[in-house]
Amino acid sequence: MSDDKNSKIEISYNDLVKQIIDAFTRKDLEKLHILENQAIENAVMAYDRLFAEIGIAIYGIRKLDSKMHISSKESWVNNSKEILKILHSFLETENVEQKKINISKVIQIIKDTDKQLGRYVTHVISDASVKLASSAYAFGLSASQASSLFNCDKEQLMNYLGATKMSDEDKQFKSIKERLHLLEVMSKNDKI
Amino acid sequence: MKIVFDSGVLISFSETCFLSLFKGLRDNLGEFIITKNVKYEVIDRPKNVMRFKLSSIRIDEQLMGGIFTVAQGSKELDKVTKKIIELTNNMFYVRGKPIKIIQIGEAESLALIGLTEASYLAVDERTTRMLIEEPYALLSIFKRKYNTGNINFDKNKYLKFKEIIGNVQSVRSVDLFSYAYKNNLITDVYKDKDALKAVLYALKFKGCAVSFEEINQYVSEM
Repeated sequence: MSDDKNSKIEISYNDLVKQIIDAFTRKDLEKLHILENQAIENAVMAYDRLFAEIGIAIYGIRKLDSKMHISSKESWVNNSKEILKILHSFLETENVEQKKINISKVIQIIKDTDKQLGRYVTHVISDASVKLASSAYAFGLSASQASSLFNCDKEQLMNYLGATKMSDEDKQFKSIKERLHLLEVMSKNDKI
Repeated sequence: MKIVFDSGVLISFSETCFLSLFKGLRDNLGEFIITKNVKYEVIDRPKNVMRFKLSSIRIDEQLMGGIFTVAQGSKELDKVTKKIIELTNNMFYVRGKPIKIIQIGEAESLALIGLTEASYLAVDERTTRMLIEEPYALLSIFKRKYNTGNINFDKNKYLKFKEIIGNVQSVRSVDLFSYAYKNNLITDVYKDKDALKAVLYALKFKGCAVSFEEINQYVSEM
């Protein structure tokens, strides 16, 4: 356990976005991934949709930037500049509603780029919502709470969770056999 | 016996094409109830998204067939739901801040359990299940995931929560299918251990919180 003085959670929206601008400018995808995890933890701890949206935006940026068939295109270079411009505007305003609008604009650019240059019918922002919601679930939120925070469909989230090792890593406290036995006993007692 | 259903079990059964089992299960086990929020989550919301519409049509068919009862809202239900939200979302503290672990839909299902004196919550995801049965397992997840030793569990709030919901148990889609298997509610094609294992694996892959070890152990002991 780390000392809380070193806690990574105590970060403001602006501190996070400043680091995103720096990492994105340097094309540091690893750092972007770290910042994405930080955004998720902040979103979960404060149940904060703006942190959730920032996390989704970071995921989208690093995914598009990591694909050669996208990052090499001039349109992505131009869109990257536009994203950085919007992120600077984010820093300039104190108004949270305006900050939300700025992040929505970044997400829209990512969606448009993905639609134009991507190869899948599902878009990167949809994938981001599901993957980040699964992280929120891993942090202990319920599936509905996690899907609501990251605005994804619960069905998609459940499917994604089914493909993770989470359930295999959790402590088992009642087996199928025990649950089944209890169900049978209780249903029989109910009929008496 | 009354069983309140969360959306996850309905989704898992729909996605594996076993919704038809609910009739036999209900005839054997008792009354199946869902809240309006769960109905919204599994029917009303996905019916507007083509990718998920099929599942919503299938589940709606179960509702129309009278397999599930949709609980009507009431002031009392709203009041208890609010109380459950207050208690559960202020039960676990990380670095001095409460973690809002459950959503209003889940709180409403839990409130309904208390008000209808239901015996079971059918739920596939782990958080609500652990909250009911083993809050210390949830606490150990928080301790594992958050990078701090500053994690607290408010036992008094938990006891108040348990007072509202009563001595409720939880059951997952894998448990319900295993019950159907054991009580001959399934068609012949699924009546061997390999087929059972295949179905339990499929339910796991649809999001039911169960481990491979648990499934393999159950099937091997049969």
